[in-house]
Amino acid sequence: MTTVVAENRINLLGRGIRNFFCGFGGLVVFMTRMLVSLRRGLPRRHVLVPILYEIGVRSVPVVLVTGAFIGMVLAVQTYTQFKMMHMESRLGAIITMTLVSELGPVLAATMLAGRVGSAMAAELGTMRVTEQVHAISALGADPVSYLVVPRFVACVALIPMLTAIADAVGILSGWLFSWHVLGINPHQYWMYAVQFVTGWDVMAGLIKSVFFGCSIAIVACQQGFHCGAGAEGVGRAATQAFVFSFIAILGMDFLLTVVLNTTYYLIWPQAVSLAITGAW
Amino acid sequence: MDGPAIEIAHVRCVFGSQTVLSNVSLRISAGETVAIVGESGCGKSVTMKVMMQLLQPTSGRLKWFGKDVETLSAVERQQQRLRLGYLFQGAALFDSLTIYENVAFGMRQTGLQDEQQIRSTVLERLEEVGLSPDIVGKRPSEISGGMQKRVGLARALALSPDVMFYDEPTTGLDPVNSRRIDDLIDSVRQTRGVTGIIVTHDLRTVQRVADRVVMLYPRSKLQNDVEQIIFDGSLTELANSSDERVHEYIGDEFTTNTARESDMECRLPILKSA
Ligand SMILES: Nc1ncnc2c1ncn2[C@@H]1O[C@H](COP(=O)(O)OP(=O)(O)OP(=O)(O)O)[C@@H](O)[C@H]1O
Ligand SMILES: [Mg+2]
Repeated sequence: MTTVVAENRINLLGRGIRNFFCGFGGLVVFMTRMLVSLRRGLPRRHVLVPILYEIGVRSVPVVLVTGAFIGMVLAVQTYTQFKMMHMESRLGAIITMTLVSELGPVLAATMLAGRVGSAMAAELGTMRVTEQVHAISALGADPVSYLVVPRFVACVALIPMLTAIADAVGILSGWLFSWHVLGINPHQYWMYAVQFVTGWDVMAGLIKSVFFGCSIAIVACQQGFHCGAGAEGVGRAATQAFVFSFIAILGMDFLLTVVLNTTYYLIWPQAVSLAITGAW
Repeated sequence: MDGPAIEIAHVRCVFGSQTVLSNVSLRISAGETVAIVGESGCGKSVTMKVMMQLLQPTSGRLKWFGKDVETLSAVERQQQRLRLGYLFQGAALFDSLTIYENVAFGMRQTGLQDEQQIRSTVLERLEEVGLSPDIVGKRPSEISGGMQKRVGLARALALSPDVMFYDEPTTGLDPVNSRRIDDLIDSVRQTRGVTGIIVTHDLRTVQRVADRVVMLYPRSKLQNDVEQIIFDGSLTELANSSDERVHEYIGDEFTTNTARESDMECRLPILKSA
């Protein structure tokens, strides 16, 4: 009896591991196909523009709102701690640093994954189950170039801008909140922000966001393209697109932070940053 | 242009744990029109998609115009594929595009014609399938299923293919339009020498347009790896076949259609005289 249970557990584990690698392999194969198509040329304008609009312009409101709230939340959360150390004048530094290097990119990416990623997976999934993807091939076009490449290009090109918007709005709302509500000297807010946050930090955040954009587009399109039959398959593709791209975002966030910080200290060994002093 | 236009040999197609096709071999000569019949779910659409290379079979060979598709370069394959047209069972119109853009899609992809030529071809094809030009600005969701089917046909014919796959071209159409589509299939063949492969449940369509009938039998009901195509011959031979399974299929058609008397009148002579 017990041996059977143990066997089942091992089976389960084995299957889990196999599924993980199969899924990952599928993503890599899909990405390679996409990159090969991308090399053949950029998508045509009339195909790309509506997608840019859908992914970029229509995401601005939600990014604005989340960015604004996160800036204020940061101000509230850090104020008490900083006040205890009589350092509340430096709120600008911590808010700006957190937003620029971490929360801005991750939030913009999460919003994009939720709003655009699952919609893309659902759209491509519907096209798959209603044979529209086959119809594209039948009419002499390549479904990957026609459907995936423009979405990939749009995500990668627009996510740094959305991140920049989230950063800017968050910093501004943090500034307004700490000035008007918490009574912090607005001049000091900016002074410390500029003093602590370097161009490198901003760049690192934007670089991270580009990787997030890549993973959102690849995961969502891959889920849509390999979606199961019927409405159920489409629904599952949409949910999985969000879940998987969210996991990918967080995992990559960790890896990229390590890599970028290491790079930073390789280039400027004597530099001291506010965020991680001597940790790496 | 003689010899087989499309040829598949020993095709096997497995989805997950379900074997849909195994040991299917079929030759379609250039210029002929072949009807594929068989009960629902036996793999007719899958067979056509394998022939069009929309689905990669698990194993088996596919030849287009005498050339093994595997040996073609990507560019050649793309060129050859443009000689094949496909009408999908569910029309498969792009629902983000208008009717006009749908029909123009293939021509725009090849980029060989200017917008003027494209426009006249689109309107011509739509007229051929019996649709008025007023609908060109509509979306597929705004027209009926039968109209969608006809737009799908217009879209496939717009590229002037040498071989046409029709997946249930008349299902869901009224008798007038279904006769019209049959006539269109026939005229496309007469005027342009288009090779046709038709999946249909309508024996009238078979009688009107097909030279040859092929009957596919569900894999699950067959033993071992015997040929899945259990009948290949003319419609008369089909009607007179001694095979129990063929009888069952045609007999079913009879009973379902003799429910209406007018249908019986038109069906009986077909099978007798064919
Ligand atoms: N992409 C796919 N993935 C998994 N199974 C599939 C796929 N396409 C078809 N099948 C299965 O293959 C079988 C045959 O399907 P097919 O569409 O060819 O039937 P058909 O003969 O065309 O039936 P109908 O007359 O109803 O159109 C079905 O059981 C279907 O579930
Ligand atoms: Mg079918």
